[in-house]
Amino acid sequence: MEVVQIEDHVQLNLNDSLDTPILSKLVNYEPLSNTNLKFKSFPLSELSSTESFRDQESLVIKDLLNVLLGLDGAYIRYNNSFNPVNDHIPDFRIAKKMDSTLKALCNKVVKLGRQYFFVCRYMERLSDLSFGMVLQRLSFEIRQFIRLYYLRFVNSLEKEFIENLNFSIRDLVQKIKDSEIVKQLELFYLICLKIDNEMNLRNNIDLMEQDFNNFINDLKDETQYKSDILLATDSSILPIPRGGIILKIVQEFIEDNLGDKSSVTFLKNLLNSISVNYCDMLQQWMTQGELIDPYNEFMICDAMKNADLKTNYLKYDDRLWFTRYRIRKDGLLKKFELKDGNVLLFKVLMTGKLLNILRTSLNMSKLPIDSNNDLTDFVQLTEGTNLELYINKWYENANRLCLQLYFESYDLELFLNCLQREYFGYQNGNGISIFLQRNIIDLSRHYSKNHKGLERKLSQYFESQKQFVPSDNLVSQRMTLQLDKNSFQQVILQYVQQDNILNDKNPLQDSSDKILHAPNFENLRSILLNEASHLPKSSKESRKSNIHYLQFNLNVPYPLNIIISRICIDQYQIISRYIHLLQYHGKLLDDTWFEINKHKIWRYKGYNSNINRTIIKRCRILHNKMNNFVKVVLEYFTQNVIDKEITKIINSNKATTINDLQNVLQESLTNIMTNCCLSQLIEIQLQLFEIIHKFSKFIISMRQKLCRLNPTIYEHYLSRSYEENNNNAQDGYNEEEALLLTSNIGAYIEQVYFGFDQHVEAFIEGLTHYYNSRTEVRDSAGNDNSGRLINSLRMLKG
Amino acid sequence: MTGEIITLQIGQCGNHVGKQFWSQLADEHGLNRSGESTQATTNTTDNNAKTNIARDDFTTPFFKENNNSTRYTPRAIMIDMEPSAIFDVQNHFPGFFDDRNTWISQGELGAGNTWAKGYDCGTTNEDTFLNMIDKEIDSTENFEGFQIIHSVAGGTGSGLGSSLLEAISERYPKKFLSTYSVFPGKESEVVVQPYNTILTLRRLAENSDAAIIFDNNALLDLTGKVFRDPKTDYDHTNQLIAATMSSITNSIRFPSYMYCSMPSIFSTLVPSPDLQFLSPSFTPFTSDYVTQTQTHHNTYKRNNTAYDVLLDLLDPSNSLISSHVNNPTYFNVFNTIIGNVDRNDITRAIGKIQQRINFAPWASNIVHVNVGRRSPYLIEKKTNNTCTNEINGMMLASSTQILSVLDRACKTFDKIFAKKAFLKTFEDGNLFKNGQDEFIASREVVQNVIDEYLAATGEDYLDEVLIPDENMFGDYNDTVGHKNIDDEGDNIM
Repeated sequence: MEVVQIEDHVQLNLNDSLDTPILSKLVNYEPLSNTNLKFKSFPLSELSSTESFRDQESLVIKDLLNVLLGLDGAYIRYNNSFNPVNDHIPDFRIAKKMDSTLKALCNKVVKLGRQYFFVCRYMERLSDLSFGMVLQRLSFEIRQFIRLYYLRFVNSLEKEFIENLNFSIRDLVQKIKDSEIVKQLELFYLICLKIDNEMNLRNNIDLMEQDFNNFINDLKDETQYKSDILLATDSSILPIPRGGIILKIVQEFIEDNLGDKSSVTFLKNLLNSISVNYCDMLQQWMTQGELIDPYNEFMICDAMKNADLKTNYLKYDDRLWFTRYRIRKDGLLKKFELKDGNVLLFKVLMTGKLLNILRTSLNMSKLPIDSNNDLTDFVQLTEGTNLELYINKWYENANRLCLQLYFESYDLELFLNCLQREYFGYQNGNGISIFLQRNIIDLSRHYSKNHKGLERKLSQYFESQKQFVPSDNLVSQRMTLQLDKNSFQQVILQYVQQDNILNDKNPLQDSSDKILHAPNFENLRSILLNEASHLPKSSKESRKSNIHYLQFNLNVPYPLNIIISRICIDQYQIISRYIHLLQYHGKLLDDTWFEINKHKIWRYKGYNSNINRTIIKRCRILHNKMNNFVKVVLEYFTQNVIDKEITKIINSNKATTINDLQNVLQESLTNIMTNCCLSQLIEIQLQLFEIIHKFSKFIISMRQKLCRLNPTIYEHYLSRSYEENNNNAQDGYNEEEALLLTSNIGAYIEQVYFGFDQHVEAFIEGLTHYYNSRTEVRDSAGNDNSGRLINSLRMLKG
Repeated sequence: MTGEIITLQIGQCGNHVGKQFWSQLADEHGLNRSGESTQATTNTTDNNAKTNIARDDFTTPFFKENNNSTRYTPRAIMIDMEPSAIFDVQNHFPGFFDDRNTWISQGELGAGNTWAKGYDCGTTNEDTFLNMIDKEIDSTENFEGFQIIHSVAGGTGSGLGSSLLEAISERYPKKFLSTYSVFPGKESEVVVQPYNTILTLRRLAENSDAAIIFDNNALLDLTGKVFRDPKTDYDHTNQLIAATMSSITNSIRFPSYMYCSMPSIFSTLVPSPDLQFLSPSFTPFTSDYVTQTQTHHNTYKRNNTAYDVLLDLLDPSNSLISSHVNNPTYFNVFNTIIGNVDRNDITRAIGKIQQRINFAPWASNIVHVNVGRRSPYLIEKKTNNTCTNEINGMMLASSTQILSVLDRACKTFDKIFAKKAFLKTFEDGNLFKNGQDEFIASREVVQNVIDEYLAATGEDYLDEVLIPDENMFGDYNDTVGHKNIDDEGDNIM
């Protein structure tokens, strides 16, 4: 053997060590045989004789022992193009002259060498922080394996080779073949290979495009399966496979190796080891609601991860509840991809979110929950229904605690009651009535853009009334009065028209199809923006009085706003605006009742019978009809719509989950909102209100006119005031003028009478239509909601 | 409006009914006989009864409260010309009523059943009464109106009541004025009763805004049925009136969504001031309202639904006026139903009622149903009672039923007036200095009321104008002649 002089020194490569994995090689590579051969090996051809075969064999074994450690030897060398710096995996080349039997045996061992080399390299690479805890742990497991098992195994082979004179290459190959360790190395190799493939795949796809496709698919799924569960998801793809993806790969390996008991055991142990951190995260999330996931590999992601929540007011915002935590769709475990996976995922997501409410509300960083460490190992967890049981257990726990928090500590029931009281007038008709009474003049005035003064005045009165309300009525204490920018009509029509679009199948198809076929995010955004600008424009409307703008606002305090979200309050507001309108018009009619029934001029007995009939009596009867109409609608809407729905909410303290609670509230409010009174029939009612309003004004203005119709009261009331104010006043009572005025007023009343009847008729027609069209879907529980109103109004038309 | 309501109890009957009324209200608002909140006493012993402190009833309309809400005083004024009835009330409720709010005539002992005496007493002391009322109004913030309890048969309730009706409607023209007027039965105890009735009816027609009529025939019938006790007296009868009054005012005292003020209730019922007489019905008289005898308790054990109750209210036997009018014409109907009701029952009942009753052609045909709240104090009181779900209903109707009462009043009046019998007692009265004009005028007013009710049942009450016609002005002239005849009541019958 002839030694070749080759430069061979060791140096530390620190210059690029900062961005290399922790366990990566920090020194330079030794001179490799394929490029810088250090020695010239003894020619094998000279050892081909039978006597020297044993020599050749030992030389080869010696090389093979090297190969097993990923190194090259004298007769088995790296391929020429191999360069360790480029992360290449070497091909081992076997000397041509080697005996063919040896060569065949070598080939088997060489494969192993390659695997070892690859695994080692991979182990170094995975030690980088960016790969997340699961891969780091995998890296650790590989290292342990190599150190404790593989190297010792190779060591034992070498020892035998040195000490046992009879040790043959067949012994070596046989030992390797029999060894579990080699099998395990192979498994490691395959796992690493799979992970590598996954990484390459992710490296090469257009992430943007993939994200978009996932997003659209999610949308499609959601429209396809209308499940009750609305899962907040993050469908983006991780550039590096982490967490669940890795666990899933290992799980697949277990499945592939079923039947091979030792491999399965090995893989299961491996899986348990590498999933320890993942399980910890799960446990933390399910028992404390804490998300400790520095490398974004858990199935939950936190949108506010980087925001400073300590000082952030957003912490208490109910929007955060919906958007902060989401399911990371990439890297979900197998279990969650099954049919009921979404339900499970939802529960996982909710559990942590609920626990977060508890922690924030109680201002605790750790909840005193005994977790018992019931999450022993990952493999067991994913077996059978263990995961379901585990999730359900903690989901129930979180719900139980939260319900307790809400119903016992925050008295949600009282709060809901107060909401109903303050917004709908439940047991508070007197409060609304007094408010209207005191402010009816202001509320009847035309709304003007410059309403700040009035708003302040009304607010002052409103605030002053709060002192009479018990202090535990949080709703009343926090409620503020305001005059909205938009009239009730504008607000409600937006909702109604939205509903119409939804009910009408075709337009939905069009726009949603367009959305679902959008090629990318940019395009989607422009479609949506386009649609937003095409929202129904408010129809031209006549000037309304202030009552149409009156609304009460409420910022629901945390954590009640998780249940009673902003959306709920918006609905409360709209419903209450409708009720206030009904109450106001009822009140207006109550007030004018005094005028037409009690005022002396109206009660005067001396009018001729024509005036009596066409004006006085007709006014009263029409007034009574209007009064009856407003009250019967209000009766129906409060007793049969609101009370019915709210009873459901109040009874919801029997709910077992917070989600149920949210759903019940949402559903009830939506039911009220979509009742035909507040949806399809709102426009006709607004017209009726308009008629009532005008008629009331007309009644108030009638006194003077009535005086002119009769000489006696003319004398009594008008002539005197004319004399006082204006000397050249009209020359007293004028018979002809009176006749003309009578017929004019009569005609006007007639017109209103007719108009009102027509509108009511249209209202009834609409009501009957919606009632009948709903008969098919009505449930057996006698949900014939508008039946009462129909019964009441059926014969309204005189 | 939801303001304070002042109750005026006039005469023996008025004060006796008032006694039952306040007794009922005290029960419903958890007050003892001296007006102390029974809650306040329990609270001192029971510290965690925090929820009880917040009352969800509304006592302001009928009670004054002292500073710490422990004592409640009724906004009531008691007036009589002899002391016995008022003394009885005061003995029954020691310290409950405001002593300044009672007035008992000093000079004479009773009106001797003479309307004229009562009326004159009223006019003489008008300033005193108005002063008392003004003082009472001073303690209100949002004064809403009056309710007068009286009978129309005797002397004080009818005569003094009449003068007060006039005085109040003159002095407080914008305040609501309702009366609970008890009419005499068939067997008159007092010979001049028909005179008293007609004279009072004129004031009811002209000065009250809504008159809720009770008649003794119906009351006695019902008392017999409800109590099944041969020894019933006016205390029993008055409980029925008190129950009705309590039911009418339920939505004011236990606010729900609506009907929180007298005007809101009565403006629905009274379409025009000529049609302000209202007939009440009530069923069943549960233990919430009447002191029961043992036998009675079993009678009402059957579990009524809102449907049953609402339909039962149409039964003449549950009416508090006896009427011989078959198939009366209804103008407006207002029901209060109290208890734990199923809304679908109400829906069904409304449908049924509308098929069953006959509305005037011009009427809205609407049956209003207000779901009232049962007083929590009554529920508390009867927790160990088997009948936990007691439903009862009250109907106030503006209908031609009332004609029966009016007709009877006129007939008995006509009978004795034709003979000019018993007029002597009236001769001293100031109104009768110029002879019997007042009788004739009053009789005419009542006749007009009757005519108006009859006319209101007709198709042409509002004229042809209901039918839209292009030639309205042409028709219009034709109808003028037409109507003059109607107004005189010539061709209506």
